[in-house]
Amino acid sequence: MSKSFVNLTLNAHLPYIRPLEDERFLEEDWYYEAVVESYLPLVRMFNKLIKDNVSFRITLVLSPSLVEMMKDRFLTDRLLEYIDSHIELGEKELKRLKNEPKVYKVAEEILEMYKLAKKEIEEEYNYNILSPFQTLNEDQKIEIITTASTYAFLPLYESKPSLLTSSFVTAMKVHFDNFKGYPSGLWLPECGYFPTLDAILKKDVLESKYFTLSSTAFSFSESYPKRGNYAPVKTPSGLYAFALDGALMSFVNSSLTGYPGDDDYREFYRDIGYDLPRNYVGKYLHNKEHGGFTGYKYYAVSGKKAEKDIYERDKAMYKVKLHSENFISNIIEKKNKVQPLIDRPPIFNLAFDAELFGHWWKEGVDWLESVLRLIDKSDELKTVTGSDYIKEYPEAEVFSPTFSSLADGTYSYPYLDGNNNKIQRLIFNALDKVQDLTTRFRTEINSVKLRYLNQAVRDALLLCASDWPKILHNNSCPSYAEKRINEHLTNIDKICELLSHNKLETSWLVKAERHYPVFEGIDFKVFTLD
Amino acid sequence: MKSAPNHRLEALDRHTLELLVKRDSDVDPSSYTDDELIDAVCEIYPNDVLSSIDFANKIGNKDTDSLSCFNKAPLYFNRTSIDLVLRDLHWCYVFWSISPTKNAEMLEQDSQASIYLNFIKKARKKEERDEIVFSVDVSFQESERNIYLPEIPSSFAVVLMERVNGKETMIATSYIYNFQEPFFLSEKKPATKPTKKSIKEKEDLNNLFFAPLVNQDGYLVVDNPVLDRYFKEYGGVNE
Repeated sequence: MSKSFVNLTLNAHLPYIRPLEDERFLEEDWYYEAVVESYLPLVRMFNKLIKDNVSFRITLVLSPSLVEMMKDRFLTDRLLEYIDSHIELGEKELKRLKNEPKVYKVAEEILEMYKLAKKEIEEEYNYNILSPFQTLNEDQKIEIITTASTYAFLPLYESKPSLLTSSFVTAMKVHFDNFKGYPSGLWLPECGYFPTLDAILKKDVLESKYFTLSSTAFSFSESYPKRGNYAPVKTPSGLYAFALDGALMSFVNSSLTGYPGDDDYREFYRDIGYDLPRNYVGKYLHNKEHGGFTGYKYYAVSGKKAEKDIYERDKAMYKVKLHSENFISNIIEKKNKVQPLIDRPPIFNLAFDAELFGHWWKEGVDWLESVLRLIDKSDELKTVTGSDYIKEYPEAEVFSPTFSSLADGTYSYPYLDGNNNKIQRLIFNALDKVQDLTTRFRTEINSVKLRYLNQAVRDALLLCASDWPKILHNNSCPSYAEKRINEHLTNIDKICELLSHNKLETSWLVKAERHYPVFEGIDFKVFTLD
Repeated sequence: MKSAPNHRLEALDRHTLELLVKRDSDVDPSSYTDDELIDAVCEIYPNDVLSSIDFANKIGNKDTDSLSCFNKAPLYFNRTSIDLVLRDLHWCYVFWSISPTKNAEMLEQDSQASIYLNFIKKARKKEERDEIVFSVDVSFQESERNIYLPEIPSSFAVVLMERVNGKETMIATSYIYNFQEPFFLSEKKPATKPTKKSIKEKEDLNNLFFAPLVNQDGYLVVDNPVLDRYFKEYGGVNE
């Protein structure tokens, strides 16, 4: 019997955040935490599998915003400062914990993680976090694909084709420049899709052949495909669309029953940044008054007990083994149900946020490694990427997926709740201004004015990042999202005013370009009306 | 004590309840018991406010008062326009702007001038005409509405209308959305008559389809109006 397919995608995206030289704020740590706790451990794990001759295929989405951050030497230097301060704290901790062997061991492991990251960045990756991913992509072990340049939630912008086009054209350029070619597939932010999007994608995504959708894109459509969501369909424009299997994904993603909540896994929220006196940890915190995360976390989830157990790596690794075996057995069980209903081996499309592995779920990287090893040994399953599958099975049913997303409630709710919906008016107004401007000046040849126009498009893309409304919705750090929205709106207003009055302030322009030096080759013409 | 949606309040943590009390009153609730806190919230906020979506959002977003810039942001720009964004299959967010010149012109012509929104089902064929599905009166002070669409037409738009001296004229129109009806809401008949076997296979496949919306024990984990409707028409997923 032919093997069924497991199409695993890890989605790595963070909002483009870059402090000025004299600035230091909490939100920049998101990137540093992700590099040390998720991205580098994932690279290590992939290389280990390669060394052990494990056959695996996996898709990695690297958002253009993240790619820009990974290759930014300034951010790498800041990352190293962050790592140094965590090494300093770790060494202090080992002295403090010398009479508590169980906790000492946990602290020592965390300290080793920071030391290893520093060594790799300085000695192996030449201060370029993107380089190990480029190598893995070149060696064709993982398939790196791209997404909308700043991760805009696309269904909000159905009426703004300039934004959609510029998001993808810019993303394609970033990918081409960094990975020596166009991506074979595309990730839609939050899998947000609407029926006319595929025609826009077909026009702008060049060699990309496929994208992935929420299962409801198929199941809530006018009819449903004959192979269900266990084979891709071809959209009316000729692109392939895969549908995710949310049931299998919920074994990992469910906050109630998912594996990461197991009692023996590391508890994310207990951190010495909250537990120890401020005069001891204060130096390592952004906010000494309220505490914060330092990365030094010594407890296990331990159920609902008030007194948490000290984390034990061996116990957690035993659970990793059980959970990876359980996951594989669930896929096989489902495969056995689906196989008789369709005319070819089913494909199970699974996608997870890359930052879940290692950062949120400490043992996640080990679990993923174990899953990939088990699939390699399996007689029933095989890992593939979207493009591998299409090569093997080019025939697909023509089908129109419907409006859908992975966001809570299946559609656009988190981006249009009672509070953040107000920003759409400001964003739409700004986008219309940028479109008017780029259309009016489309034949401009003055090099300074061209830079202004490119900056306007850059600000428009940064403004439309889905991170800002999502942050407002989650109330995770609303003042930063508010600041960024205001900053980009103000820049767009300023550029409109200056260009309309033919008044150029080069010093302002240089400052704006340097503040967010992103999408270097951006071309404002992608924003003009045809 | 008012009969309020207490179950919702009971689900909130103490900090949020205290915040709600402090936000709209001079009371210091720090010494209140949890029950007293809930009573205090019910006293401060009218029933309809407690039941509203905005209030739910207020609860969910404790720090929204800090979003001062958006509260002060302009509601009108120097242009007349209307936009519509879909929140889900039934709710859409509509926002509009009337330029000060247009506003003054309307009121100059007719001090009783008014505005309203028309939801239009767009004609799909040349010989057909656009059809008004429903209208909503709005005031000059408003600039946005969350609108419930009982049925989403396959092609639709929202139009901002003025009523001046009895004459009704369109002043702005939104992007036209072309919408695909979900299959179970569709009136379209299947192209081929299904056989008992094909129905069974499709049901089986479909049950597996909907598995993403159930947890490992087979219970629904997503509160989704569309899904509710599906279950009313097609039954459960675990047969």
